[in-house]
Amino acid sequence: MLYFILASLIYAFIAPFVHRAAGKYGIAVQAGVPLVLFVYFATFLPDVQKGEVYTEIYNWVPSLGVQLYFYLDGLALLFTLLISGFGTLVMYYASQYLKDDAGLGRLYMYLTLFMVAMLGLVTAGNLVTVFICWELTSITSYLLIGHTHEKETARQSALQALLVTGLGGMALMAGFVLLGIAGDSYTIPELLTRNDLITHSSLYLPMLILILLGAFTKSAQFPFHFWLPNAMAAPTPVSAYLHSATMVKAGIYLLARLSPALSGPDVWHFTLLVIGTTTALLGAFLALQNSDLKAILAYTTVSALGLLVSLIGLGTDAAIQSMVVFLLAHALYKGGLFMVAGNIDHAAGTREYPLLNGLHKQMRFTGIAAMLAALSMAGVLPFIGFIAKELLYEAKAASSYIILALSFMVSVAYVAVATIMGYRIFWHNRSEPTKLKHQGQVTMAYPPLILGICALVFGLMPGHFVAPILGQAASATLGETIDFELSLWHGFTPVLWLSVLTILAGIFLYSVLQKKREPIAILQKLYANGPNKLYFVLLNGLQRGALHLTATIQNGYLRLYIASIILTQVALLLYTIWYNSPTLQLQQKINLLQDVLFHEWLLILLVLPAIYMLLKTTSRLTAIATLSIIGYTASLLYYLFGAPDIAATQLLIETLTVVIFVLVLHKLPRFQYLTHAHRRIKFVVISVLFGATMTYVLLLVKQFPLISNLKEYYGQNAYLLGKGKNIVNVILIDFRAFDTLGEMTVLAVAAIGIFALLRLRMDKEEKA
Amino acid sequence: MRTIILATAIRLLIPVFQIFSVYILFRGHNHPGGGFIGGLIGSIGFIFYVMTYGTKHTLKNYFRVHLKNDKVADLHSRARHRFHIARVNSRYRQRVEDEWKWEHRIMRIRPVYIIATGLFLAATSGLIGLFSGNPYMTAIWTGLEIPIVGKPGTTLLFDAGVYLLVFGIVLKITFVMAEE
Amino acid sequence: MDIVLPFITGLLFATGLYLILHRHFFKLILGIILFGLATNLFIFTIGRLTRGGSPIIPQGSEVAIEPYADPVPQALLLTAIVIGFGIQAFAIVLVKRVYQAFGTNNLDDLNNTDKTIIPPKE
Repeated sequence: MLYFILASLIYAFIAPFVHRAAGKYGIAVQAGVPLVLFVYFATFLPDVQKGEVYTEIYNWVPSLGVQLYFYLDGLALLFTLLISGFGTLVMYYASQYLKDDAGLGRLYMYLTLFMVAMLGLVTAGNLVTVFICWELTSITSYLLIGHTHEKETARQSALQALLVTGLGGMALMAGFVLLGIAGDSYTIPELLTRNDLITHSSLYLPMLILILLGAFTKSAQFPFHFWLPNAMAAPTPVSAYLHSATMVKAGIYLLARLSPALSGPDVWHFTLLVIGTTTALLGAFLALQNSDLKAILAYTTVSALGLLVSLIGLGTDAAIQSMVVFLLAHALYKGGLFMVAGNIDHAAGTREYPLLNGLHKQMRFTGIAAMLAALSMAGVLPFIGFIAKELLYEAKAASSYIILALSFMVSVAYVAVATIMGYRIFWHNRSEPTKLKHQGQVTMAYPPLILGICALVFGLMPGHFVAPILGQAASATLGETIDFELSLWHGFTPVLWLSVLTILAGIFLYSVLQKKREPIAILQKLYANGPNKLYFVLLNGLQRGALHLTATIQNGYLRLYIASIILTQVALLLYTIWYNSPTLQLQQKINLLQDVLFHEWLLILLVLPAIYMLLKTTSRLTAIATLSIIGYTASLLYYLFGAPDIAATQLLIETLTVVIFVLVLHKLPRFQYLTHAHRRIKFVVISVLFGATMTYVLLLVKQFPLISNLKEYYGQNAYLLGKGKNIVNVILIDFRAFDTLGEMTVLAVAAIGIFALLRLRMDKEEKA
Repeated sequence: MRTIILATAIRLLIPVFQIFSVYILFRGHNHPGGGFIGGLIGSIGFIFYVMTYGTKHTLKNYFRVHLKNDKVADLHSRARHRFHIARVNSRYRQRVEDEWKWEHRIMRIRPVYIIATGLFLAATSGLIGLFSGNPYMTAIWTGLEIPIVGKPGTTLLFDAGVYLLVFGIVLKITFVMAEE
Repeated sequence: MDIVLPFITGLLFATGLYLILHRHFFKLILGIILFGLATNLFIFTIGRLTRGGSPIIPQGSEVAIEPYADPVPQALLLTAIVIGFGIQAFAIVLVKRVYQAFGTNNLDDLNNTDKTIIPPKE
């Protein structure tokens, strides 16, 4: 499996070149890659359907315990098939939809990358790999939404999606770490068996909140739902792929995957149920308020995701069964409808459905595809959507009638939307048919048509095709094996009558909508101040705050920078000293004064007047001379205390400094007293404070014995291991040669800097 | 700053500085000294020269190699031809009998080249240890025992790299400062 | 000497910082040099002082014989001094360049130079 995924990853990067080289026929390759993956994953079907789990483990970062762990069970396989199958159709669809787009090659690359990331996400058996793939999908989603990067809105939406899902990703990482600590493992199969350990851990609540944040941002749950409709700025193939069928389901996948490990406590069920139901209602409601086809579909997607979350929250056998069926049904019809909307947009140049009428003559195949998908969405009898809705009602009815009523309302809205998509645009002949820019292309109608037919076939023969794999997926979510049978016809149960009622109510809602097309003013105002607004307020605030902060800190006065650095350091040092409160034995120190030899006093007497002169002089030459006196004194000190090498270096460097100063002296500014007297006093205070602190620290340090084996080690081994008798030199060029190499590089960089400064001047002079 | 005594002395002193600095470099392993100090001493001679004669003169005298190239090549074999040119350039620098045959090439030795050579030498000296199967920068010694140097090994190469780098950097700085 | 050197170091630190805090370019360079010197002395003093006894293995011996100074801070200092010189030289060239380019010797005049470098839009 590793090789297949790696090969696709590598292929992603050469996809643009393949596109350029192969031209029109390149699509065979582009769509071939996901097709090969689809077939490859399909070969696992027989084994997995028997309930076996396929694993593949490679050591990746052994020191951190990170493995490249592929874990393929029913749930993962269901997703891989969806991803690769949809990938094939979307690649083909993109090639038709963006035929003349210059960025098509790039789009292929991103789509393939996304697909690989998504496959990695669902097959990963290790939390670390899950997280990496999770972030990769966020990034590729950013790139794909911003495909038409010339447009301001596309860029903004892309950034919004990235920020929202990226922040969620960060929360998710923290949640994973907590989960890893609580469950004492980072591998998913192990975590799945440790439900007790995890749910009774004290970390459970923070971990749950963080993981849910990640999942909810990704799957556009309330209050993070706003990014998904904005993400419709992406080209339609991308919307169909990422934002209906696959990426937004990553959050669902994660919840389903971790459900055996995390479920149990009330907080899990309650949060998922409330958030999911709220999102479902809100999405359905907002969908009816919009007239842009893609926006309608986006909001119904939000709503459907909410339903899925609420089903996971219910957590009963029936709920999970209906979850997996609804997941498949939704992917099939929503992907198809997005493509239909794309076709209409492509041909008519608008997506506002009130402007679209009677398109069936011009776009016959698209119309048929739309009708198939819409019927499945509405939950009409022979389609898989019908089965999904039946199961949904059954599951909800078993828990509470309030929840059932809310689900009923959502379903009614779906029927209304489905009527718009499948009937209103194509077959409703109230006025003149809309004029199209060009006839509908048959090639563009194939992918949604295939999806529609799938929905029909799966609905007619559910037991043959989909039941076994869906059963395994449900078992994986529940964490225990269940009997799972799907059948189209359940008999005349109350649920069937509820379905019929749903359809009737939906059609009634549709006719009401047709008459009353004015949005409600109060609600409009409410949307304008919703989470979307909050997002922009936060973003702008952050930017302004950063600007303000930079302007305050980076004020351009060097001495303020230095003073703040120094004062901070002094404060930290003094705090540490005060906190540990070691006592300075001054009496003992004063006794040490007797040890100071005569010539050492002489040296000190040389330094003091030099410093005085340095501060008082107005001549630059005198300043340099006094500076060098201090330097030479330091050199002598080094020599007296057993460091001939440093003494020699210091001596030479001091000489060089003087020479260089003399060389450039006449080019440097003269002395001037620029600073006011009162400010100087401030400087004196800071300087004396700093100097005194350093003295105090030194005195304190010298009070304690030096604990270091290094001196002894180097003394013992310099000759035996380093074959040299000058220990300092041996350290420099042998024991710590790598450090020296680094320091040499620093020197070389300084020389290059000087060189660059020189070049700068030359360039300027040339210009002048 | 040009006094006759300094001007005359420094011309004689430059070779002394050079030899002394190399001596310090080799001596460094067993006594005070080494690449850092050696490089500084080596460059100080040139700095005084710059102070006396100016940058241009220094560059012309010491950092330019005049090469002679055989225009009329009798290519019996490439190796022989190379050897011929090398011989002319090293031994008969001043007098070549058939002057017309030779064209003059001037190669400038920039301090940056010296810096780069030093860094390169230091970095590659560690490779020898690497190729013999040890970690990078493991020192390797020959069995010889030479009077001042002691046992020569890869560390000596490293120290020579340090020497060249320091030498080049100080020269570079001096030239930059003294120009204009 | 153990008692006197901390005071000398502190004094050098204070002087160096005082010079750096001034607005004048030339004093800035002087301050940087003094500050570097003080830092070197600080490290040297922290590594304990040993009179005489340089860290060189005597003739005829294979290991160092006490008393000898700690070679570790010395190795640190040796490179630090040379690097400090490189930085000084860089600072001097930089100051010279700024002085030539802007004709000012006042650091405070440089706090909005970034804006002036941007060429006006045509």
